Amino acid sequence: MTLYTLTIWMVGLGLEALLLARAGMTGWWRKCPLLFAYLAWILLQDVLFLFLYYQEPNWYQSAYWYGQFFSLALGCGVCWEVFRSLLAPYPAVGRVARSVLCLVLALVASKVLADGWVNSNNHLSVTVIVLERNLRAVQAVALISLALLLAYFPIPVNRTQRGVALGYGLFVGTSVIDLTAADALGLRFHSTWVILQPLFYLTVLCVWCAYLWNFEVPQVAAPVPQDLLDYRSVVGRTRKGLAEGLRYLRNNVFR
Amino acid sequence: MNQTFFFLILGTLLIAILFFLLRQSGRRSTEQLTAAADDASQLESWPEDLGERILGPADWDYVQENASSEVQRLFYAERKELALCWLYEVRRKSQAVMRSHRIGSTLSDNIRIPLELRLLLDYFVLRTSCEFAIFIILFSSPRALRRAVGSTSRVTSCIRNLAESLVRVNTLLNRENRA
Repeated sequence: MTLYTLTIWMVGLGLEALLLARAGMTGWWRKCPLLFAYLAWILLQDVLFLFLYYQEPNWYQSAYWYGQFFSLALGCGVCWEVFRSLLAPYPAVGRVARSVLCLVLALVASKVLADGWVNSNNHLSVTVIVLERNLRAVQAVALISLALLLAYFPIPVNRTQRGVALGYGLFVGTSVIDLTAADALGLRFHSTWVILQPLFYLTVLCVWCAYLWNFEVPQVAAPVPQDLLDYRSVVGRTRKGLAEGLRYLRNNVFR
Repeated sequence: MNQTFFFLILGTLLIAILFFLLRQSGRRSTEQLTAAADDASQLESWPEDLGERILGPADWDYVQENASSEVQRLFYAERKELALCWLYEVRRKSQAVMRSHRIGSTLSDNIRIPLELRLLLDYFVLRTSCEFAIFIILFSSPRALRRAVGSTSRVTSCIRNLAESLVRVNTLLNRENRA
């Protein structure tokens, strides 16, 4: 292990411990239990890996990949928590998100898992890289869908929610890029991989530290007048507005 | 290679979209959203039929017949600017209609995807028409707009028909799935 790797590892451990301590002090772990569990697992995993690396180096690689799968499962939980925290006050948008997500995830998951199956004759670590990349890709698609829904439906996002989504999105995005390069370039990429991957992860931890330092409680939807709640009247108003706009343009320009 | 490219694009896209969109959405609060919905329910009316006056041939013909070339040049330049201003205003109003809809849908008790798609389609046609008119005036003149209109209205109605059939198919499939 080089001095660079060891330093990054130690700084990562420090930041994870800092985040967890801050979660305990401000009490945000109660509001985002899955993110807290994810960070706690990563911290535990890092300490364990450091021990294995020096004491039982033969076990290190397999332990690393098994650990990665558990992190992936918890990562799905973080994704779900981001969705829940943002969309819970807006149940109608939540239902749309569920429909869109089910459709998109079914398509992507079937494609990437099928690809993984086809390539399953490869060496174990290559298969694991491909599988992890594919599962991260599924998470990436879920987060892109969420971001696009947020672009269409103007849902308020507070600083903490933004930080969690940004940090995890950054982590998933860089993981997909990293794992794709590792799969495509193989051993040639290994030296870059050991520099880049921890660096990206440190960036994510820094984003989380900055955004989660002062925890903002997720906003509750303000009371809305009854007439604004009626979807049919909203649609009727928009239809009328757009039809008037089209008629106006047709009368003035397109005649 | 295609697969590698797909995953690289996916990762980059996620990072770019999250940075761009979450930066924008952070500027709202729930109170602002409700207030905006309240404002949006009072939609502005479309202005008087100014377009006919700005784009119509009456003033153009008069200036062409009676004014010097310098006055004609000035008149054309100002008319072009006026036509652009008017079209920007039309575009702003169409954006306001859709913004008010998105706010209203977010706060509403129910959202139907086929209806949303249909409204998006109407908005797309309105915006495309607007952008087309702006493009023609920017790179040519307001008079050229009327000449180009015939062809574009055929294209937009073609796109609209195609997209409407897609929405209809989607609605039918949904109905069958529910049955």
